[in-house]
Amino acid sequence: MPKEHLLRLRLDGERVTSRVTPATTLSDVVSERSARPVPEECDDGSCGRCLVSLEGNLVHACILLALQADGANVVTGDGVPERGIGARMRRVLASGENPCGKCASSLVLKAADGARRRLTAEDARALFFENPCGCGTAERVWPELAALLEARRLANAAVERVKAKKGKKKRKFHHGGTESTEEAPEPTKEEDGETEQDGETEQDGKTEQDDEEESGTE
Amino acid sequence: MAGDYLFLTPSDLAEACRLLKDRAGHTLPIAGGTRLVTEWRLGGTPPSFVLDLADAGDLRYRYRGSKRFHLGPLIELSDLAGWPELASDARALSQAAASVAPLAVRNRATLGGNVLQRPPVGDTGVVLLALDARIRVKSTKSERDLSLDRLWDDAGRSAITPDEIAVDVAFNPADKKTDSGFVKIGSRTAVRPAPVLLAARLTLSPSGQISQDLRLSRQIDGGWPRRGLRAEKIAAGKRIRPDVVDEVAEAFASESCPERTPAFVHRERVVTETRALLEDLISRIRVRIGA
Repeated sequence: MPKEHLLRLRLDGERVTSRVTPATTLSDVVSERSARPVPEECDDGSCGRCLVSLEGNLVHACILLALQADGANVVTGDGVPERGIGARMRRVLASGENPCGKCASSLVLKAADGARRRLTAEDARALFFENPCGCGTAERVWPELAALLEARRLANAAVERVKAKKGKKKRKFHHGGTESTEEAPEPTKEEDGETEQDGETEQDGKTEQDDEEESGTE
Repeated sequence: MAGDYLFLTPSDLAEACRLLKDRAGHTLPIAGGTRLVTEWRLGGTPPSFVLDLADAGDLRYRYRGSKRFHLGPLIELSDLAGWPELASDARALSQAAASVAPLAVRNRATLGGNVLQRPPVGDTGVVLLALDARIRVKSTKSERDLSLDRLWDDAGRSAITPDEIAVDVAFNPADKKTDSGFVKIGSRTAVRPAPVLLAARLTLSPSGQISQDLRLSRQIDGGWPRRGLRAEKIAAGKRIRPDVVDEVAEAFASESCPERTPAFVHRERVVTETRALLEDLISRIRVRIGA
C-alpha cells in the first residue's frame, strides 16, 4: 500500500488539504476539489488542456506530482481574478459557442499570463496557439485577446510616458557647479511624443496596477 | 500508475547526498519532474525512491561571474530562454532552452534534468558539449568537476555515479570573435527525441578570416551527444572559404550519420544544416568585428 502524505495547497484562493499518494498528480487533486474536472486527453502534457498556474507559472497539472505542489498557490481558469484580461477572456469564452469547451480554462490562463508578462502580440499568439485546439475556439477568441493586449500595451506605454514626464519635472538642474531645484520646463506635446489620443487610452485602458492584479494568478 | 515508492524531500544538499548514498541505484533524483509521470503512464518501471531536490539547498540560480556563466541545475529552461545575457553571449543555449516543448513544460523542466536525465538526453546537452561546459558534482565524500566531453562514454554510461548530485554548470561566454548556434531538425515529444540536434561554437581570428577554434556536436535519434572531432580538425587554423565550410559540413555529416546505420537517412539534412549554421556564425562574427 503506497504511503499517504498530507498535501496542503491553495486552490483558486481556497485552502485545500488532501491525503495523497506519491503517484497522485496535481490534476487528480484539482479535479477532485475545484468546480470542474481538469480535462486530460494526452497524459503527457502535449494537449495543454490541464493547464494551471502554479505560483504564477503555467504548468501541466497532468504530469506534475501533487506532492511537488505542496504549499503552493494553484489557480485554474475559474480562479483568475475578476479584474484583468484573464477574466475578460473568460467572459468572451462564456458568451460564445465553444464546440468542446475543453480548452477554455487553459485559454483564460494563457491570456492572463500573456498580459502579466506583457508579451508582444507575436509572442502572445505563439503562446495562445502553442497547443493544438481542434474545435476552433482558440481561433474564434484570438482577435478579441489580441485587441485587449494591444489596448493594454498602449495604456502601459502612456503610463510610462507620464511617469517619465513627472521624473523630468522633478529633476534637479545643475548650473555651472551650483545646484538648483528649478523645475524643468514643460515639454511640448511634440517633444515628448504624447498625443491626445494617448491620453485617452491611458484613462480608458488598463494600467500597471491592473497588471499587478493580474499577477494574482501567482 | 505505479505509486508504490517513497517520496523523499531532503531539506539541504548534505541530506540529499546522504539519502542518495544510502539508496544508490534505487533512487531517482527529480527536479521539475516533467518526465517522470509520463514514463510511468507508458509502463516504465518506477524506482523504489524518488528524491525531490526542490528544497535541497540553493541549486536554482544563474549568474555571470567574472569569467564564466554559472547555472544551477535546478534553473528552469523558461528562465534561461528569457535571460538576455545568455541570448547575447551563449546564444546556442538560449536557443535550445527556448526550443524545448511548450512553455508550461519549460516552466518546470530544469537544466539539470534536461542534461542528466536517463536517455534520451534533452536538447541542452548537445549545446553544453559544444560550449565546452563543465559540471560540478557532489557526493557525501567529495566534490569534483567533470567536462561534458567525459560525461558520457561510448556505451552511454554517465560518469556521474549514482550517489552524486550535480551542483553547478559552468562555461565561458562568447567574446566578440566567438558565437554559437543550435539547430533542431524535427520535434520532440515527451518520450521521443527530436531526430537531429546540432550545435556549434566558432571562434575566428581578429581579422575574421581564420578559424581559430570550432566545436561541433550532434545528437542523432536520441543517442548520446557527441563531438564532431574529425570535422573540427579540418577547420582548425584554416582560412574560412566556402569550400572549407563545405568540407567541414560533409565530414561532420559522415561521422554523425555513417553509412549502413539508421542515422544515414539524416545525412543530407545534417550537411545542409551544418553548412547553414556555420555560415550564419561566420557572418555574425564578421559583422561584430567589422571584418
